Amino acid sequence: MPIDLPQGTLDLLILKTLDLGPQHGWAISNRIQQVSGDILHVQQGSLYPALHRLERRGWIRPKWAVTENHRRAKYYELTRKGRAQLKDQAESWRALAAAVAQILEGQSG
Amino acid sequence: MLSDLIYRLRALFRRNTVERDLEDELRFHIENETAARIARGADSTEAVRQARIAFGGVEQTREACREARGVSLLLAIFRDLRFALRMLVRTPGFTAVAILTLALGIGANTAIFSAVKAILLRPLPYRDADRLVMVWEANPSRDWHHNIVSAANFQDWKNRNHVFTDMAAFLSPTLTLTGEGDPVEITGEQSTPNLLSVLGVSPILGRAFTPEEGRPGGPRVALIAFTFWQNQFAGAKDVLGRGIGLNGQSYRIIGVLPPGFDGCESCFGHRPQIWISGLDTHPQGRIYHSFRVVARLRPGVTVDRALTEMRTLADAITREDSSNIGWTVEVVGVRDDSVRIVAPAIEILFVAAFLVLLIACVNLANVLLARSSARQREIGVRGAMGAGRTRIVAQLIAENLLLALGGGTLGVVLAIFLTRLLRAFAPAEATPGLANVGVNGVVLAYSLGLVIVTTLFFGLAPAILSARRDLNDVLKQTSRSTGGSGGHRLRGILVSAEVALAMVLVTSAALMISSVARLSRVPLGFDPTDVIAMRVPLRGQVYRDNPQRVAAVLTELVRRVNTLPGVEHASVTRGVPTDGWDGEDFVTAENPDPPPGQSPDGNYVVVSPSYFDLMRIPLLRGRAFLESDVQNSRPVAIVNEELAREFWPHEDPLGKRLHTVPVPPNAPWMTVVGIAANVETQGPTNAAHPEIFVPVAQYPWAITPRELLVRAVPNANTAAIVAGIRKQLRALDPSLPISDVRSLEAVVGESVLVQRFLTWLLAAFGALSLLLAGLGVYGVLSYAVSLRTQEIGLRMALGAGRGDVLSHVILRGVALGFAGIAAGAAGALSLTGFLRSQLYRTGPRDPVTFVVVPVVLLIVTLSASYIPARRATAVDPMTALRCE
Repeated sequence: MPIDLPQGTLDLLILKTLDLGPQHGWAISNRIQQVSGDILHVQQGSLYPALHRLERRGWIRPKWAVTENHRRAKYYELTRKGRAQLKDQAESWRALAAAVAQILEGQSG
Repeated sequence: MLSDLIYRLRALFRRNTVERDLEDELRFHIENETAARIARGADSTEAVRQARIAFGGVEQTREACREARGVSLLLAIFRDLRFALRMLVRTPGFTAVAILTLALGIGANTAIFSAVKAILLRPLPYRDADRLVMVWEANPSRDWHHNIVSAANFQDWKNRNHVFTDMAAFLSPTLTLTGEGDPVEITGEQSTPNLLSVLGVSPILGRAFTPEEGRPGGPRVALIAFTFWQNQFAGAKDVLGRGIGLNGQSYRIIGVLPPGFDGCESCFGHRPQIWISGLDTHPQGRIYHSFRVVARLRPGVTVDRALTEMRTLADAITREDSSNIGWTVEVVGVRDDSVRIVAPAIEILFVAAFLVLLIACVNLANVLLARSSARQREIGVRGAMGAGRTRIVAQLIAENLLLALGGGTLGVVLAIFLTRLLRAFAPAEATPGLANVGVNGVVLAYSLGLVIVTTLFFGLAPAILSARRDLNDVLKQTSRSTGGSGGHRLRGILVSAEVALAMVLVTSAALMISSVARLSRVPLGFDPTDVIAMRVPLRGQVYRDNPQRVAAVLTELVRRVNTLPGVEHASVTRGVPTDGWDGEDFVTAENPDPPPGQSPDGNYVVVSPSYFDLMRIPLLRGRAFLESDVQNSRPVAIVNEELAREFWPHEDPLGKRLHTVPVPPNAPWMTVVGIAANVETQGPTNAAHPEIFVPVAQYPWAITPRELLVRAVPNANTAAIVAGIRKQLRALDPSLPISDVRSLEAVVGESVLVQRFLTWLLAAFGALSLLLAGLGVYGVLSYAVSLRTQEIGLRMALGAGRGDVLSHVILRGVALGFAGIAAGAAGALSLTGFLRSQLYRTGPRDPVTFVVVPVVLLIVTLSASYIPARRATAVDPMTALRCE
């Protein structure tokens, strides 16, 4: 069953997805869905505000290009600052997940 | 951080591009989603529909993206302002009147504030200026409050006081710069050597006076003013030790004073360029008053305490020396003293301008209330569409802000113009700091503050009032109901308040006008038209010790000037009427030895025989002075009506004898040979006092200051006459200048200049407030009529005649006006007491004024009510009932 993403994590996933290379909005959403085995569904209404917010903070950079179908599309790529952010946020996430797992393990059984 | 800012700026300034890009981006997404679904097998239309649903609300997303850009607030504000501008432009009449009203209010207040700041609050060039006081003698029984001080009193005060750290005395001798070129009159100050230390001022070059230099007859040294140094010596650094010629003697320059220092500012309009010392403060008779005195308060001593103590000291002195009877002390802060003539007027104007602004704001608040009432529906719909209350209020405030900005800007322009007027027409002599009256940084800040406060005042109230309403009620409301009766009552109250304020202002103006009218009706007693006055100092050793020479030169000068073309009469005189008072104590032969302190005092005027003809002062009895009244003949005098009335009320004054006191031993009595009509010597505000006229040939030593008066034929070339006089005087003695050439009319005008100025401005404010109040009444009634069109139509359909409708509306207007007039009358009765110091022969509760002004206001209210009333009668019942 698809789980809806909490908002903070959306930023993290977008940054990670772009780490692999510049993509446009739809591709990012599609990819997150695929890679998570169709468990994480990006709420499309929150994808673009998130992208614009990240752009404003300077963590991703827009690039207009022409697709294979000759359509004009807005690609995003990770900036150096964004890469640093990704590293920090990923570490925090792992630490958080580990801590939560620790507590959950301790409580059961 | 920087990228954030750049991003926001781009989002702000390239909005259209950004929006288009977003449009493209979202569309691209939906197309891709559609394509993906088609690839999975859906048919094309179904795929599009599903894609759209999956995406969610496009508009919301767009809005969210805009928020994410971080400029939504700013954009919202811009949008509000743009919309507000459109709304204002759509009603140009209202906008113009509103902006103009505000501009007048803000402009007037800004201008007066700049006067307050430049004149009343100006920084004084002394150390701790608030610890400096002027110490005057005062004689309350004779109504003299700022009298110069005698040497004896100065010494006693200085030695026996406990409230001052030090006291300095000074006076303003007429000095002539001699030496190179023509002798030039120069303003100077002669003081005790400690003047600079009392004031806390140090020379920027050189040093101050030493006590040895303060000794009369001691070394002749001088300090020069900064501007003098720049003009005469081109700012040369080696000016110390150079000599300048003053009154024919050489003085060595020992110091240069800082720029901006003009001596003790109590000398009105007086800008000394040179300071010398050697002031003779040796006590002579206590009744000879000579100096101005400035003192520095001891730490911790207040002006009031100093006053009390000095008065006690004066009483002690009087007990020891009975010639001091009647005299006491006045202590005034230096700042207050220098503005004592104009300060009351400025304060009155400040309040008046504030009242005008208040009226303007009330007017605007009223109008805006009406407008916002009319837009209730629009506001209701906005609320229903999701606008938060803050946004609605913001929209309303945007309009008010634009109005305030427009009014404020125009107001500042107006203030610049008004301050220019003030600088040109205010009495310069009585107004130190006048040159600085203008719109500068602080004044602009004040203006801005006014704009903000007025916006809040007239803008916020109606905005909050309307935003508070329950949206449901507003939407359901149709125009058939009387809509906002609560608001209507508030508007009525506001209008009455306006009328009340206008009543106060107009009453004040009317009182001042009647006072000035009475002032100008007081007969001067002489004819100043076509008369020129000028000073003829006659300084120098050769004149100081030789009064005969003075008499000879002056008499010869008068004779020569009489022969100049265009001159009708010439005369010398001691002082000019309305320009001052040269009092001397005197005794009559009937009462040669009055108790100490009770000698009568009279103005002692030394004149040429032609004086009375020149001034056109009628001689009521006896004769004028003749050429035969010379040094060795019987001393004669002419007295004025008042003196004759006071001292010889039932006898023939001719032949009576009197003396000025103190009497030199063996001096003969003066015999009265003529009675002159009373003259307004102390200005129109003062009653007549005794005056004694004596011929210059018999009393030449007494004629200081020396003025030459010339009556020119009408339309004569006065410049040529003055040049001719200079030539004649130089022919008599090349070292003699003339100075202070002025027209007697100007001198006379100066004595009432402040009152006239104040009256003009108050009258302008009064007229403005009448206009605004009238507009206010008109606005409220007109709006009420437009709201009640249906009700009026109904009434008329049910049989009410046009006359009934007319009177109904007019009565409402009159009721509003009446309430305002009554409240305003009460306010005026209690407030006009503040005008008392400026009113002449007019009480602050003058009954005529208090009848006339309400009538005027009533007429204004009636006229303002008439137009809406007429419009009400023009309502066609059928159309009114039919329309919704």
